[in-house]
Amino acid sequence: VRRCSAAIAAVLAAVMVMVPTGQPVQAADLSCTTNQLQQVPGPAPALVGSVPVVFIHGITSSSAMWGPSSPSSIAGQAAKVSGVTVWTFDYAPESLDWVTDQAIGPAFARALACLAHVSGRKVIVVAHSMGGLATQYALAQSDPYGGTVATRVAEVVTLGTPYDGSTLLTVMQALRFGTKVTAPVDYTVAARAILSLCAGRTSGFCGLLNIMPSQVGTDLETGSSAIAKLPPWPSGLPVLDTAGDMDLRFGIGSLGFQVNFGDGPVTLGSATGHDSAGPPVVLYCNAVQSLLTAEYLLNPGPCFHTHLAHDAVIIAAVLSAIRTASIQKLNLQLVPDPPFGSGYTTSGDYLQVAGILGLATVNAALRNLVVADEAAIRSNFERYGTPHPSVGPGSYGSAPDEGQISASSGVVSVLTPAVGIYPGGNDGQHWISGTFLVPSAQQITLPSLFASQLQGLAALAKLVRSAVLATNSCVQQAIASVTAALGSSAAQVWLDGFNPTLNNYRNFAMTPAGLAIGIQQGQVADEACGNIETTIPWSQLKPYLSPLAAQLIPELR
Amino acid sequence: MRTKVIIVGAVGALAVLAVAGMLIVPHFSRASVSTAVRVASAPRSAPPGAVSAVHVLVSAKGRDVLAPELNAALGPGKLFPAGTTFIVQPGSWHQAGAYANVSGTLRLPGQAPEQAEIGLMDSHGRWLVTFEGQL
Repeated sequence: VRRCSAAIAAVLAAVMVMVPTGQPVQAADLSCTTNQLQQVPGPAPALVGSVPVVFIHGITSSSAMWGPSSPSSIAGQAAKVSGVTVWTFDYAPESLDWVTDQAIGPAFARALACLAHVSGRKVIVVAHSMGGLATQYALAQSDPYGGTVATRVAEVVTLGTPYDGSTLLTVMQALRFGTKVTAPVDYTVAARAILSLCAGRTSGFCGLLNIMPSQVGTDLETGSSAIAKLPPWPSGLPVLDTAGDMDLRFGIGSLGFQVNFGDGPVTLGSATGHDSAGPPVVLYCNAVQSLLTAEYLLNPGPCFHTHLAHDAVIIAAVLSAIRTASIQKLNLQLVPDPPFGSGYTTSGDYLQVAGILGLATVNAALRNLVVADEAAIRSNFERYGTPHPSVGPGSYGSAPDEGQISASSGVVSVLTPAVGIYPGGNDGQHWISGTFLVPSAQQITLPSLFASQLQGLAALAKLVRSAVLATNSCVQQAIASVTAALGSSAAQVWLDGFNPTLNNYRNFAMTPAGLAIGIQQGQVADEACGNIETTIPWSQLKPYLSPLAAQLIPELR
Repeated sequence: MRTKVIIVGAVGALAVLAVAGMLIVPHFSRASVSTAVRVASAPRSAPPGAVSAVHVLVSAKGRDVLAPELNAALGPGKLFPAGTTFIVQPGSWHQAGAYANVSGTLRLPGQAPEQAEIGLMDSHGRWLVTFEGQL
């Protein structure tokens, strides 16, 4: 039926595309959208420059399982991740066919290649059930743009993929055909019970019965030749497995026993059969043993195979993997500071970033940090009036230091020392700083990094004061000298520079090592100590950090 | 206009072909479909052999009608106390291939009656119990 329908559809399509112009319609070069590949609405609609994330469903399912039109679904939430575009791949009409069907593995391979080619980035795949095996097949296919599709994929996340096949399906098939059952006896008993209870029922566990009569029902049996023939997973490709695991209490009268079902169709061992990206994420539902009842078979709970994509734990793991895998370290480029103006020499550089498309807004924001700083200093200098002609020129310059910069496709953060000296003057050291989301250039403020601004700032102030007083000998000597000469109240004026105010900590950068804080010349010690910088490790700030900070820290590069 | 008529005609003919194809092309690729699972289209009465098995299940000889693997897996012990009854609910019989279920009222001595379901399998013409549980 499917082949016949596909042929008819092809003829119809050929007729229909001829109608408007009499010429075949040319596919747009920058679009990968097809009947099978659809984009999930999100804030970053442009594929070019984004990290494409593709969700592929499993057997007897469709792309609707990901809830692409719901902002709270796994796909909807993924679409909100900075810098990614989210796509669903659908093969519902063929979802009872094996992954080698032209509309499944080969078509998915073409979709992955197109997304990678147009975006210029590697693709992240999120696959449910047999979608993981379709991915395994697709990765080994040739990429029309060169190499294999595997080289275009950054990471694969699987949900309940039966790497070794489905034990439950295998046992039920054997019972159905009267062939030898090789599973443990308790599993066989449970499978018989399910077959009995599923008479007249179609959802939950009973959905498996729809698969059994099809060819794919055989292909998905444990140790099937179809699975054995799949190409091996590419070595070095990160694959994160997620799985469900549940025990069921199986009783009759006053007697009973317990059976471990994994996620139902897929055992834990099979669902975690190929994990190369750290330990698998397993959703356990074994704490309270569920009794196998007809009601349970129809609504088996969050650990069940088809419920995994709706569980908060699994969704969080998938989103975290997407965020991490989509992050790319950006290249740093130094550009000469804009000329400060006549009567001044300008000698520094400011930071620009490169490496992915769509960085114009961020680079404009980085440039604006220097432009705004120059404008503020110029305005300040104007208050001094016209410099005396006998003195030399003033100067301006900023000098980014790699230790106080992080730049990734998720966030760019910079703390740059700068100096602006009035003609004939001195002591113009200060900081320029900014933290921006990529690609929006939305600025991240210090308070937004703390769950409670009051507590966070107080903790930061305490940590910075301790660190500076313990390590900066210039500050130590300055405080000691003024205390000895004028008393502790005089020293307090400088120590107040550590007080937990937003102004005292306005200059900061988020770096992989921690929160870098720039203390202005003259803020906590005399001018001779110059600009002061200290970095507070994230581990020390962890109790005070906001969810935003927790999200951004893994993205720092 | 002529082009439109031809296209409409072609679409109609192809639609007819598609429907015909759906009717005549076998869906299942596995050779044997004699035990294919199907959803019962309408409630039926339980066969006498199945009703008999259900009654034996709650009797002292209950283990005689258990599927052999189930009997082995449960370990020793009595399934139900003496005096337990199970009344089959008319029209609750569902069968798919060799497997079936039926529901009814389980009454244990001294306890309130509860709705329960019993799973069965046709083993060479003899109905054996595969499951009993709350409905």
